Amino acid sequence: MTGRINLKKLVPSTIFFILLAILSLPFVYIIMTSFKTHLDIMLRPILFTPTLKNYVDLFFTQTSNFPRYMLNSLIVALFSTVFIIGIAGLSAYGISRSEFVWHLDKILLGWVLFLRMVFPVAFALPFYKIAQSLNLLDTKIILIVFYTTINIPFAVWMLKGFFDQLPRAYEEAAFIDGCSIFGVFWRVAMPIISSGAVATAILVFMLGWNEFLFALIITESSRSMTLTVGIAGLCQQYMVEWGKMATAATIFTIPIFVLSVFVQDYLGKGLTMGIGIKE
Amino acid sequence: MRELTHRSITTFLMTLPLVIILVFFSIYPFVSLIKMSFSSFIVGKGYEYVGLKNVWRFIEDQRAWESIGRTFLYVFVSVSGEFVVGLGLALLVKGKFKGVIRTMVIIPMLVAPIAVGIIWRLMYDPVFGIINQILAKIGIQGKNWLADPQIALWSVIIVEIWQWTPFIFLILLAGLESLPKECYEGAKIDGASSWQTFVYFTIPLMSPIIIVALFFRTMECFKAFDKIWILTGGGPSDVTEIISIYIYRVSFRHNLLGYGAFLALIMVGFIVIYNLSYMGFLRRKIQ
Repeated sequence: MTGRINLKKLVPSTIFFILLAILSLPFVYIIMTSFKTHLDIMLRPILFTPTLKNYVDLFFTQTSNFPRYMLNSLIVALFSTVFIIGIAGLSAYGISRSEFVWHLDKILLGWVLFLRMVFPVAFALPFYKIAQSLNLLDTKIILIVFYTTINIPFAVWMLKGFFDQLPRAYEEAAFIDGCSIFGVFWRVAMPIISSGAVATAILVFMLGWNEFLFALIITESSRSMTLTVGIAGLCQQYMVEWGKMATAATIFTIPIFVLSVFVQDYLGKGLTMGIGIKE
Repeated sequence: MRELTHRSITTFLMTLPLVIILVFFSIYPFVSLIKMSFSSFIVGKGYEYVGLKNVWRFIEDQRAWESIGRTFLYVFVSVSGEFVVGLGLALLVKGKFKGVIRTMVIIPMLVAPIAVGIIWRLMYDPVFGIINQILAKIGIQGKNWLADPQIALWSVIIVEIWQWTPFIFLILLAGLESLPKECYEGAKIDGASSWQTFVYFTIPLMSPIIIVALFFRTMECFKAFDKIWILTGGGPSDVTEIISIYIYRVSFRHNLLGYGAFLALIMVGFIVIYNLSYMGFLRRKIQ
């Protein structure tokens, strides 16, 4: 009897750990590859002498644009995150607390949701045209504007969810004390949901950091090229130089590893925009 | 009363920045997409209205139809695979392994599709890739996973399943853990087998969550682009060319911007219908 119970516990755990290995081994593999020389990649899959040569090559070679791409990615992702949280925070609070006529709030939310569902490729063409006519092709500014636009729906829905859960009693108290609605938003509502807002900001930052398609059509030179496009170019250029590609992928992924710890609790809710998922 | 109107005007003003952004960067692009769909881009002249020319072109464009069919196949197989594995995994770990291990599970879906593409491209390499090296160790002849037209699409689908199973897993697990425990105990007392409990109990109770998970996964899956772009670029000989890749190629490689816009418009139309039917379905479910 005891044997059977153990088996019943053991089998699911074993299967789970095998699947966990399948999920995580590719990352181990890529990190290992990034520390290998070209020869080691070919001849020694597991035992090898680690070297930092790939990292040095990517970061400290005169011809390497890698640090530049990284800086561009960081700037674009960071600025779009700031704009998104500012704008989405305000409007999510407005939508959550208002009594709009003609269901205007529902229409607004529906439109925002629709934006999130549309193929990015469908936006690529008009966005390209807008960038062209504003003479802003190959600039970081237009990328920031586009990232703000395409990622704002996500933030609006997530923040609205947080504001909806907020008991109004706090705000009423602040109103009675003579606070304006902006004051209530800024001094009462935002601080209370701050942990949710931080998680939203991190997720939005990740979306910007990981974005590829718009960067691919907008950027041309190292002036604005982001890491994703840079790495994709590297991929075509150095298909043989695995060490470098693995290194690029590793560096690119490390921030995500670190940040994922902070957002895990909000992920299910965030990715379905809070629809139909209970806490 | 005056206080209230004042307040609702202020809340409306708060949404104004969002409304402005939406008008400039979503309504305007959308209108311009429609205009572009019925025109051709000619270098030096800009966009010229060509009437229904793009429609006829689309009807005769076998490559477009093939890529649409392929997109549906890609989405269907990927999402089904993710669902089966994700549900299985969620049932296995229900109530167990909290904390760090769960974080590990969700990492693949947070990593950029670009990085995932590179990782798998290296792993799939016919000579030095880890997959073929392992297969060689156990005496199986490896394949050229991404260059063989017979299997390239399946190789890409495996990567999609690998990356997004955690999503289904995460949502279904949250659902399973929120199911009332008393009902399970009741079923046990009544002598129901675990299979019966699963079919008559878990599935019906879970169905709203399952529908949400599948809806969002399907929607995101249709948008796939980056990963396939890195893995195969749509090749070999177009076998992994799903619709978004085809639209990109038509527009930015062949410079047929008008026709590309028309294809994009069709896909937007499809997404609208898909969403409306889902919303209708949800509403009926609630009633």
